[in-house]
Amino acid sequence: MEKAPVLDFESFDTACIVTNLLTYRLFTRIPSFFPKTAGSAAALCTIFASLLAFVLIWIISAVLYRIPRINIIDAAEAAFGILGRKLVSGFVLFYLGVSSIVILCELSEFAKLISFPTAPFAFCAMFFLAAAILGAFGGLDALARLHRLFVPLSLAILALIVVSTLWDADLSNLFPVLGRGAENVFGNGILGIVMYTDIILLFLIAPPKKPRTKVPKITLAAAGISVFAVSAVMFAFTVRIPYPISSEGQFPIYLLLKEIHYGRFFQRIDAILLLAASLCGMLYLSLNLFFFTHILKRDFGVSDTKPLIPVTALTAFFAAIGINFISAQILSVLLFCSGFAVLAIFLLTIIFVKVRRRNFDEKA
Amino acid sequence: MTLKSLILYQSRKAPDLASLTPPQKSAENNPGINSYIKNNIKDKSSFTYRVGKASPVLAENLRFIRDAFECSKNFDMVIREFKIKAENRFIDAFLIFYDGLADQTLINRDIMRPLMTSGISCTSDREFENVVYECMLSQAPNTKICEMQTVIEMVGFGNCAIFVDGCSCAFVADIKGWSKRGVEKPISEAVLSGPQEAFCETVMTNIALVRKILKDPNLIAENIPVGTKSKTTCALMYINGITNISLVKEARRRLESIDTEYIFSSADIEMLIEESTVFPFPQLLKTERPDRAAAQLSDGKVIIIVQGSPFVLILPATAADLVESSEDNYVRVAEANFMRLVRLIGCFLALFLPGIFISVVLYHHESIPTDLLFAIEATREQMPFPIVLELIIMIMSFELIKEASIRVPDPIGSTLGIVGGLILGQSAVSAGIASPLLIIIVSITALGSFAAPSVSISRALSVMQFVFIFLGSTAGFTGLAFGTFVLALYLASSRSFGVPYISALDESESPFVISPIWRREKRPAALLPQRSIKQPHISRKWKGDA
Repeated sequence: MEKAPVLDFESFDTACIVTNLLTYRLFTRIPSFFPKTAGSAAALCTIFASLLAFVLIWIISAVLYRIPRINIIDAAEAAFGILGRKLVSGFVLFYLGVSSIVILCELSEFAKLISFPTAPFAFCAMFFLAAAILGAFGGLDALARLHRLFVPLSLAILALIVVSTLWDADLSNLFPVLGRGAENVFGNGILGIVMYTDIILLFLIAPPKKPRTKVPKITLAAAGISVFAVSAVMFAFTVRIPYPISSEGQFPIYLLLKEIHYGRFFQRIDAILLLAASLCGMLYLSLNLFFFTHILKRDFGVSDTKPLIPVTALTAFFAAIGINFISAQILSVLLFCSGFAVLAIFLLTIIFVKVRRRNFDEKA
Repeated sequence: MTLKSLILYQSRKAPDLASLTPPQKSAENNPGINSYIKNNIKDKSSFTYRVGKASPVLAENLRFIRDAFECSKNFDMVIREFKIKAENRFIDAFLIFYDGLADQTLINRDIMRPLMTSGISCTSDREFENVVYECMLSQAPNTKICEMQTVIEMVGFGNCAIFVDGCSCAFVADIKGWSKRGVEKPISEAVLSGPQEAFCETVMTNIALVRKILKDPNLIAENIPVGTKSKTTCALMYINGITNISLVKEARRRLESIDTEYIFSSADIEMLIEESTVFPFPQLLKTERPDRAAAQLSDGKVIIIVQGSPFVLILPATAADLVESSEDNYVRVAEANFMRLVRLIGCFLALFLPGIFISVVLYHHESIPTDLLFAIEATREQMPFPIVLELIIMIMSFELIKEASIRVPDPIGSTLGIVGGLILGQSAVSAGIASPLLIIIVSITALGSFAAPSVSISRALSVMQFVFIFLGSTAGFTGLAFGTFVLALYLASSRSFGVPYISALDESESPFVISPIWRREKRPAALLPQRSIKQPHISRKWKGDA
């Protein structure tokens, strides 16, 4: 039998991947950046950062989709030559590595917090590590299908949480409207884009087969739904958890969850959230690991990626244990820096592509 | 006849061909090809032995047949020598058949009587051969075969072979007359409101049952004998013009490349052609219902009917097929959807409930109300075993009852269910071996597994639930998430005959929702059928007329 068509920009699978990439960080401690930065204006700050991210995604997609059969790394090569290619690949690899370690740390901490307060960190991380290795071995096609299964579930749970918390919302938590000041909300708030930097994987997944004048609706819709979901959760968080409790650096989604009581039967839905977070986290880590080894193979001449998958995963595992032992703050800083570096490179590439369009089209 | 089998009888005068034969491979390593004849050959100089074809000399054929079938030992092999009445002479002939496999009434009425009583008028042997074939054998399925190997195979399948002196061929009449079961009610796929016909063990009857439903001249039934010795008839069926040719080719390739001596049932074929042996769920569907097989054929799938097996294989299988039941097509849409939802919940409970229970009790106490938690703990106070062991003991007890009730005769089965299910459960609680809540959990799990539409899925779920119990007891919901991820990944990366196992999710029509028949316009896209449209957008044209 002929193989089914592989992942495409227009497919529902890609939309699910985009959604997971953009919403997954809600399950980590990263969103606590917003209340820390903006205080009672955390929701406003999130909406601002989300809108910026959406525009950014739209611009990159709109430029990149016009050129068929190349992804962002090919674009970098066309724009800056082979050195540009290596540089972008290197930065993407660095970002993927840092991001994987951060998520592994956060996910394991989250599982530990809900299920095993006394268990060692490595015990929790072990499950995610094993899942990531198996997922990367499974390949992109299988991972895309799994996104189709699990991401709607995750979105449904997020929606349930938002609806359940808005029931007892205290709108006075939104005041003062500008929280810690306009400078913090709209100045430092730009850093909140780091919530969405994982979108870079979208530009590595599958270059369009034909040039397009418009960004596919499904991709834009997925990005829109995702930024809306993040904004909605942070809005619910802001109206439910007053500042300064909201800025304590805990997992915001977990704090929000503790506010929900579903009558007599389900006292809390922590366990269900853990299930969704774990499944989506495993998908996220698998995808990261897959792309890490894929880029190594494509751009750095590694011929066989299969042995590389467990090696890379184990390296991330030990790095996560080590860094978690020293200080998780280092990772956050690294993540912010690398996220912005990658975004900057992407934008630079896009600008060059735009300027040297004719030359570029010929190469493509 | 294959080249190898021809070479087997080659005399030493042909070293060029003989040298092509792999040394010591023909019989020892591949005993399926004529080894039973080779072992009994005493005189290899005759024409029949040399070329493996029927000889015009009747005595040679007779000697060959006696050797091949070991007539001195086989008491059920019948060789009847007789004389055919010609115009002015009698011609020697003999026929062979297995007693019990061939219909003796037909032999007497349609073969022996015309040959022995009608007079033949002819001049040459060639003409005589044609007259016998065209005018004297009144049995309809009748063929002239020269290859002795084929004659042997056909006689072994219940046919009768007639050898006539002067004819360099055998007349093989299809007069199978073995005892067989008729078309009865389906047992494992019983429905309340659908056809009550099931496949039987005879391949031709089964093909006819499918043809009767589809009535499509494009319905192809290819005969692919499998088994080097048994030559079991496997009918590969598909609809030309609908089914993807690559799928047919792949199914044919796999069937033809099976190298084993005997095939006993469709389960053997299933195991020999499926992709992965360790895959927990069935990769080929099995059905005993002709209507289901026909429906799947019309969707662009391929079916394999195996002689001697009342279960027909449908390929490829996808995850969506696992929740499909024949009953869905015979009830109203809302009813069908509700039943499918119940089945899905049943399968989910069968797979996950014990694991979730263990996770909640061991790690996630906060998920259940405090009162219920206290109740659980109170019932567990007197229990001597850890809860995991308690759960495994009870599930194993249930599996024991299930297995035992299959083996015992029907009248005792219900008694066994009562004794096992009620008395044993009640006694276990009274004796303090199991808590009442655990009995409820095990019972719901068991009911869930029975809701699965087929036995193979039910068994797969029963096996998998132990994995989830282990993961749940090790890491709570994180473990369950890990197990779910790995299982789903395995399903997502698996293929059945090139079709992704969870391909149904790629399609616009959800596998979880049954749409009314007038909305089922397309065939499953994952099968890449030659004609994807089943019916036009508006199939209820009377609506437009009104």
